[in-house]
Amino acid sequence: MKDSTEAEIIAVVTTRDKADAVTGDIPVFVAADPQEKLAISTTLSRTTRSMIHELPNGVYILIRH
Amino acid sequence: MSTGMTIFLATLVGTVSRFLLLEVDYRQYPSYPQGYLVHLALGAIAAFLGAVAIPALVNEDYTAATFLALAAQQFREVRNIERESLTRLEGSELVRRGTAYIEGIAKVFEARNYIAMLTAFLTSGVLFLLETPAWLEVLIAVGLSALLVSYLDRTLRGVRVGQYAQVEPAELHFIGPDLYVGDIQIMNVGGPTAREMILKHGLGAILIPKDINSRVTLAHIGQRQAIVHDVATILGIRKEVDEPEFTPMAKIDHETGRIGVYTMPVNKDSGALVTAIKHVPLLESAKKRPSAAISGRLAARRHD
Repeated sequence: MKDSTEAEIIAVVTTRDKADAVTGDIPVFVAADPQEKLAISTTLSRTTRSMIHELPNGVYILIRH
Repeated sequence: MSTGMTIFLATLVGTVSRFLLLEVDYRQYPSYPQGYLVHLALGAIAAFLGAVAIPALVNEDYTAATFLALAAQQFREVRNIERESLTRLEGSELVRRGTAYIEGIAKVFEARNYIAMLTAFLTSGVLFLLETPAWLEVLIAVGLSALLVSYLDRTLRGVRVGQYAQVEPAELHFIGPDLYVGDIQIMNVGGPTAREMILKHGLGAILIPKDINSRVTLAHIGQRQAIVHDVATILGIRKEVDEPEFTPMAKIDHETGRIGVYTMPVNKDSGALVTAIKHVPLLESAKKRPSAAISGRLAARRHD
C-alpha cells in the first residue's frame, strides 16, 4: 500500500478458451492449459515486479501497484 | 559567576539534554554512530545559541538576540535534511515508511533541537540572574532543566496506536482468490503458490478503533503505512522486491472502521504482531478530532 493509488496493467495471461474475452491495447499471453497459464504468469510477475490477480472468469492479469 | 562560565555551563546542560533525548530504538534512527554525532553537534550549536541570549540582552547587545531568528531558520533546515534523506532512502526499504511517517520523524528532530536551546536558555537565565552562591545556582539550573526535559519528553512522546484501538489477532483465509483477515478483505491474490505461502507464513490482526476520533485517525493512509512499516521492521518480512503479493497491508472495513492488517513475518508469532501494532506511534499529521465539532458529534452518534 503506497500513498499513491496508481496501478497499471502490465499483461494478461489466459487459456485459449478465454482468449476472446480479452481485447485492447495490452500484451495478451495465451497458454495451452491452466498449468502453463500459472507458469507464464509467475515468470512475468517476477520479471516485471508486478502482481498476479485472478479475474472471476479465470483470466490472470498482472498489475504493477 | 562570569559570563563566559555561564555560557559554558548553559551550553553544556543544553547539549546533555539533547544527548538524553537521542535514543536509538528499533528504528535504528538516527543511525549510530554517524547520525548520532550529527545530531549531537547540532544540539550543541542550538544550546550555545540559547545560552548566549540572556547575557547578550543584559549587556544591551540586542543584535545578538536576532541570532535566535537565524537559529530557528537553521533548525527548520534540520527538518528538511531529515525529510530529504529519509525520502531518498524510501527506495531501499522493502516496506515504505510513507510520507506522513517521515514528516513525523523530521518534526521530532527539529523539536528536540528547540529543547536543547530552551534548556540552555533556562540554565543561563538562572545562572545569570540569580544572586546566590555559585553551587546553589548550578543546582537550581540543573534541577529546573531536568524538570523541563522530562516534562517535554513526556508530552512530546505522544500517543501510540494501542491507546486508540483494541488490537486482536485474526485468521488469514481465502474466499476464491481474495485474501481476508477475519472478515476484512485485503486483496486479490492470483497465484495458487502465493496463496499457499500466505496461509503458511502470513499473520493477521484486526484493529478496533475505540471511538469516532480514533476511527478517523486510524483511517489515514499515512498512519496505516506507518503501522505496516513498523510491523515489517520489528517482525521481519518474507518478501523479495519481485514479490508484491507479500507486501504487508492494512485495509479498512468501512462498515465498522476496523482495520485488518496482513503481514508476512519471519517468525509467525501473533502475540508479537499485536504488541508491535500497539506500540506504533500515532502520527501527528494523522490525528483528527471530529468530536470537537458539533456536526462530528452528531455524526458519531449513528455509529456508537
